[in-house]
Amino acid sequence: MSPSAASTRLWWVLAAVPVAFLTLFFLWPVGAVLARGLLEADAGTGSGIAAALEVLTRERTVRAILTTVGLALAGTAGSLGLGLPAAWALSRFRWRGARTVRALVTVPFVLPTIVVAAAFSALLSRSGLLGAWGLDQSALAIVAALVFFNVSVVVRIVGGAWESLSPRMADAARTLGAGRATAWWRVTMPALRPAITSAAAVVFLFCSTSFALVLILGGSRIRTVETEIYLQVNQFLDLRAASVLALVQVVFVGLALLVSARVRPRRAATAVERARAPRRAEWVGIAAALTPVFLLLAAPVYALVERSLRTADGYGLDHYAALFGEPPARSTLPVPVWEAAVNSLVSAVVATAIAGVIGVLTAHLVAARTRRAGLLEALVMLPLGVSAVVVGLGLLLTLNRNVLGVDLRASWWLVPIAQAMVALPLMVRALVPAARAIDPGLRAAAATLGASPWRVWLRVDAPLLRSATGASVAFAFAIAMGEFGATAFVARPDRPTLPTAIGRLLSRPGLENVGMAFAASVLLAAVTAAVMLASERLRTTVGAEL
Amino acid sequence: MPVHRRGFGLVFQDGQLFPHLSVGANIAFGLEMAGMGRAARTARVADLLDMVGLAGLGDRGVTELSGGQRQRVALARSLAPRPRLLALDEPLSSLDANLRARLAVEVRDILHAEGTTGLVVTHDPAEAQVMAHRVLRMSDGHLL
Repeated sequence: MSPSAASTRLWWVLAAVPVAFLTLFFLWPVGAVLARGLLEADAGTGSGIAAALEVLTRERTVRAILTTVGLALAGTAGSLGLGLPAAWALSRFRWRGARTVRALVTVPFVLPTIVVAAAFSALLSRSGLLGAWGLDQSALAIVAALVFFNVSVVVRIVGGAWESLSPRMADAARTLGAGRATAWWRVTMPALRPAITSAAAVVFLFCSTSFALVLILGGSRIRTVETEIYLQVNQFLDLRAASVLALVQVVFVGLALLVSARVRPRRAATAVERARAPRRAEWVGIAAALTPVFLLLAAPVYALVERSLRTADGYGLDHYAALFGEPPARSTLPVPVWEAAVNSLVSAVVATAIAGVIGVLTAHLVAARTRRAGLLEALVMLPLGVSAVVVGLGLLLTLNRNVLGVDLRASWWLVPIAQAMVALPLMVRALVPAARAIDPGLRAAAATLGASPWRVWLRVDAPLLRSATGASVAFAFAIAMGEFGATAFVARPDRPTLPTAIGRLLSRPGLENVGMAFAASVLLAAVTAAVMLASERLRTTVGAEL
Repeated sequence: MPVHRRGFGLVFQDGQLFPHLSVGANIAFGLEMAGMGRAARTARVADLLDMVGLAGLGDRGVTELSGGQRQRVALARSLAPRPRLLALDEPLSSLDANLRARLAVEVRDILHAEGTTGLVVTHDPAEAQVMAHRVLRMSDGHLL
């Protein structure tokens, strides 16, 4: 056999690992859910399509769809409204602390959704800091939380484009007789439009697939497609309705992805000019742009920490201590919170190991751009286009049984598998550029020096990818620790993870329960934020060589 | 036969030194692949560094070297496992004219000293005259 035929064969043998993993734990479960929603005949209503239409025309369903669109639009508008001025203030000018402020603005995005839900609940519930505003369980609370999350997306995407935009262009327009406003509207704005549209599409996507925020903050009154799927499964045991709603959600996400792919911002080729120091009047604008963002970000975090320390008689660490004791009598939690935290740690470690092995393998296999590499990359990225709730539902419906002689139902394996499925595409997306950045000539050089393909990988690829791998592994771990959407479906009630335990504590009234939920949220936020910071630091040291 | 079992060395136009390894570790790479022991490797690396005029620079990072030094390391690295044939693909083309003229002589002498058969590809007829015993001219894939 020729060497190239042998290496092609080896490629397929290795590719079988990610392909098998995705087929068994993603394509099959999600495909089964969608097929069930569309095709399965129903005794009561006849054909599958008719039954699907019956679900779609229910008043509940229509309301959930309208609520999803409405909340997502409001969340997107709010994120742009706060994010665009902040992007201007942070990317147009050079001032002391701008970098720090920008880093702080991106923190919310890495917080687990359940923590953000807990924080807004701490802020807005009746005994909260802003409890008097009566926003508990209101749509406005959900929109505020969505903006909290997504303002950083706008700052990142639009700020990046704005930074690479030469101010000379607007200056040129002014010399041609355009006033300040006209120059902005006719020159700057059109140049930024692709970035703004792209940011809006991504934010809309995140908003419409937000699960934990709506579930916790919406209470029983506000339901979106995501939470409706969960309720249909857990309260009404109507799997058909859940499957039909999953289908709706896949269409939603597909449309949002399509829009964002079409308007991917072009990197402006203009030379980046040094942003200048702001003038006095501009300081006022910067303050006006950043103050609302600061208040929105700081208030819930402050409220969360404050409520976690507030006890029946003043302040103390009682709630933190309670995490290590027996669960409160009135909660539905069967185990102490610390045990849920241990479950989370174990599950996140296993999920990280799974995602790590498959992610590194995939990155290696798709580093050279070939047709088969493109197909494999697309397959591994596919879970990004399906909400975690749909993934969780699929795993619950198809794998909650004996598979190939392994009884997955009785084991807790589905939890780390679900978390790995959510983390894997993000991990691959971070690793592939790093793998592609390795000059293929280095591998050729190693081969001429007598290194076999395996040793080339071990001695050239592996050391050059070490920091990128470290960063993406930390990232995957943080995602697995905070994962809620898919985990909520597959975690067994007697074996909760930390996020599902927080969710359950929050849904029960009583100072003791919510106090513990807030304390646990603070700890979860601290752990994930620390891991994310470590990941960020690892990533910035990449590329220092050569 | 797969590349790594051919026993042919190759000096790349742009060096292709491993950025994560020191100068010495770059040169030792092929020796390690051939299964040579540590002591023997160290001795051979020192010899080669000496031969290419970089004695004592084994612990440097390859990013700290000048262009001419890098190509010398690339040459030493390819020579280290004593290839049956060493192909040099425009080894000097990325260097400036002065250095190129000097290194052409040096490379020839080093190959001579090592007793390695070299196959040099170059666009520069003068360089070919300096380096080679035999010069073959090619045009559009045909020998002239």
